[in-house]
Amino acid sequence: MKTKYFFFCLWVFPFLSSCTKVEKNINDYYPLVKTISAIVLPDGTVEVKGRIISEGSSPITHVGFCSDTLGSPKMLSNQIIAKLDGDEFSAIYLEFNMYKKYYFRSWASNGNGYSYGEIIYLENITPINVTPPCTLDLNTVDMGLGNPIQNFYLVTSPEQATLNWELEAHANSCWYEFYFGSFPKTKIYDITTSSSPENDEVQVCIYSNYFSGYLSTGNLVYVEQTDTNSWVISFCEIPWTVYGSLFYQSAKFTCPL
Amino acid sequence: MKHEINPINLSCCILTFLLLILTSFNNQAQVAVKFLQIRPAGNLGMLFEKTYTGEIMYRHDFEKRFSPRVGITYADFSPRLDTFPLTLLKEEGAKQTVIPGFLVISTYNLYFLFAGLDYNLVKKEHFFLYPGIDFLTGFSKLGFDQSYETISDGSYYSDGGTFAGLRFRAGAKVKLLKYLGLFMEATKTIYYSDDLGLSIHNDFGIGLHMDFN
Repeated sequence: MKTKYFFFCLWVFPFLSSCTKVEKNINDYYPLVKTISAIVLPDGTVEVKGRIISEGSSPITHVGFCSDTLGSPKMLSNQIIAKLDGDEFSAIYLEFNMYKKYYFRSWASNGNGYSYGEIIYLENITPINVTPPCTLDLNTVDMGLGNPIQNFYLVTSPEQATLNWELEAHANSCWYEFYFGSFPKTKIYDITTSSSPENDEVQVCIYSNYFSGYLSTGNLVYVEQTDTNSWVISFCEIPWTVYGSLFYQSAKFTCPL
Repeated sequence: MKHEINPINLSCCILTFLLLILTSFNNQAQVAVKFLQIRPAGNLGMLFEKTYTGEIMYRHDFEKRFSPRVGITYADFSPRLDTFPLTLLKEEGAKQTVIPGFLVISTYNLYFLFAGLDYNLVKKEHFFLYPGIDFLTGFSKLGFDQSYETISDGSYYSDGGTFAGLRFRAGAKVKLLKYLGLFMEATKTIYYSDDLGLSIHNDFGIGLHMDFN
């Protein structure tokens, strides 16, 4: 009799259990993810961080972020797929309009589906410090030739060309042509001699009555966007060689003028 | 693959099946009805809520420890969510995009026949403790809508399919009166269907066994 009861219990136990646990809360099947932070970095980019609180009932397959200027970004809005480092992940977003509000949200997917983390927003996204290292009066240029400092009398607004954004700054005895790789905004741009500058680069051509050339690489142009369509542009002590002699030129001007 | 079911053929099959089973017994006609709660398990457990249904069966009393049964059941399942979130990985060269999507289940129901046997473990006149096993077969109907953003506008699937499987049971029965017994059973059903592949559900039920002879 006891043997029969024992076998009965043996019969009961395995088929009353299930190989896969059924979650009482349906949300337990999906990942639980948290958007930790969105921080503006010195160069004006934004680093977003997220954390996996729970994988759900299936291993994580992908994690990432989405971003939009609308209040509730969806997964396909500027999606970045990130890599998990332990239970945290991060990504960098580039290219912001300082006059817009941006919303960031983390997401995670597992074998059952996906879920979102909280929404964080940022506005007035600008690089922390674009102050040029030299002080010059506004709308002046010092060509470093020993001549007096000149005034700019004309600066055009940026115009979009095939590969870049162009503007010109004219002084009495010289003028500059700037070719930005992207629409100018508050940022520190690397000077390049390439005719196809990248988004964070600018080619600067200099013309005068007697010579012409390019400002050399390894130098910087400081751009501060003061309004939707106005800027203050500066460069400081950039070396250039004229007839074998080394000079340093600086300029600061408003755009447009 | 669409399954064409001829209602006349279906009825003949059911009746033939039942008659074959019944004529294999002696002339004792005993009917049982059971009210049960079905709990989807495994992959079904994520998709469907518990549901309640009933069974009706011809069930022979224990003779020399064995009790055969044959019956029918219908179960209708409700999805646990209005919309299940899905994802799909899209690869275009080196670029990967996780595409969100959704699944909406509108219908899932089962109609099945079962036939099986119980084995009594105790030698009591009015109390029975038994494990049992059934073979079951039937038809399922599944309807759902599935879509992924930017890839598809949505595809609605509605079809029926056949399934077959086994049911494992543990039960206890008390004979209340000469012609009336009360029983409780726990069951695990494992079956394979065209729609959902291998599926599992558990059920717990209580029933009455009536002997009309």
